[in-house]
Amino acid sequence: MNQQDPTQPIEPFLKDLLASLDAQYASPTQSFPNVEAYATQFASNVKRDCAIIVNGKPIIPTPQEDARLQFQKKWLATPLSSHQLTSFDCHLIPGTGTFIVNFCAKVKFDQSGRNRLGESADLITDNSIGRTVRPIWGSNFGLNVNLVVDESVINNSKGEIISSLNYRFTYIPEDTILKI
Amino acid sequence: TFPFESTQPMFFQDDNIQNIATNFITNYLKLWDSNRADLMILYQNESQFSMQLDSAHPHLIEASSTTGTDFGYYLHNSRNLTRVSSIKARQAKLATGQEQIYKSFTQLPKTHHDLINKPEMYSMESFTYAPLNGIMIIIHGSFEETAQPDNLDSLNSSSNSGPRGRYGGGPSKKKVPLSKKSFDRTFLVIPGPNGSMIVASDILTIRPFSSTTPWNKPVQA
Repeated sequence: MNQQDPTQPIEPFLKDLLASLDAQYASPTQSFPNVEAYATQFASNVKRDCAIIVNGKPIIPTPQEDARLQFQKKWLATPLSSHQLTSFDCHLIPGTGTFIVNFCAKVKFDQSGRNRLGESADLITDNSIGRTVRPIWGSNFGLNVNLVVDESVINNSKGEIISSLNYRFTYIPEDTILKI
Repeated sequence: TFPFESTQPMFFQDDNIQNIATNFITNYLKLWDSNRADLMILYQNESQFSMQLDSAHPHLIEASSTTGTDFGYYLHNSRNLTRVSSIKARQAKLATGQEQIYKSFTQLPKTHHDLINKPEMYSMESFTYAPLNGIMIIIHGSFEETAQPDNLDSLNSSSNSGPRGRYGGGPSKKKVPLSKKSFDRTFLVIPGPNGSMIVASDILTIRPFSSTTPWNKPVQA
């Protein structure tokens, strides 16, 4: 048997994937030149023709927009998120060059009413409290995700290597103001 | 608001997959609850199984529950790779082939999945897996533990894993309270000879029980 553990690079890969979903448009450490650059970095490891399912609903590609682009547009409209990986496991399937990865995470969303670009839908706002731009995190959601990932993740986790993404909330906190 | 379409409990890529997946899961869980040895025809030499425990998973904390969930039967075999760092341990917790997989199965508590009476507690997704012309079947739900595992050897031999040391020699009297658990399970099923099915990969995630699920709640206003 080989001495290398092929599962070792999976954890940083998953954390990078979640970090891309959680990225802020403008933060002290990172900012994007425009909205497009920001949106297209969400889950950029996903292939354009990836099978994407979110809470049991598939994303259907159209001739104009592939599944990844649709996912990115929708994700852009979610409030700011914060994922925390809590467990993962994976199997390298012999003869296929792919890993099946299953992971669990906790995720919380910003409940301040602003979207990812920092805009609020309130026309009249009371700014007397000061312009805090810190997110107001809600309670944790439970999340279970299944991925099919190319084996090449071992050497390079940057390319388009995810061929299916199945994102499923397993628990929604009762006090969330998000409508799922 | 969450801009994705509202949650739906079941997703199947097409009717054919729906038939295969629902039949598979119904029969699988029936045997899983009654006689796990009968499942072994589904596994072959290269099949893989592992179980991971996510004790930190968010769940509804019931007013009636007084203590946290006891994961004693799962902890020693858990392949939660965020928590297992040595290569040896990471590989030891992966079962490959019928013999190892059956052994893993006997180390898990006996269960009852109430798929018939409470289908709303379960959700599934199923879609094709191109490389082997197979399908992925993913089920989320919960079960009741009905009896301790058949095989307690590895639990009792892992003497330094618990907070209280074992005292060597003789069968341990350790009793872990049985309770409900929630779970996620991912199967990769591929076609075998003569129309049979082979489970190439089987990943089981165990997490604290939650009586509410996102898919059995009415949409909130």
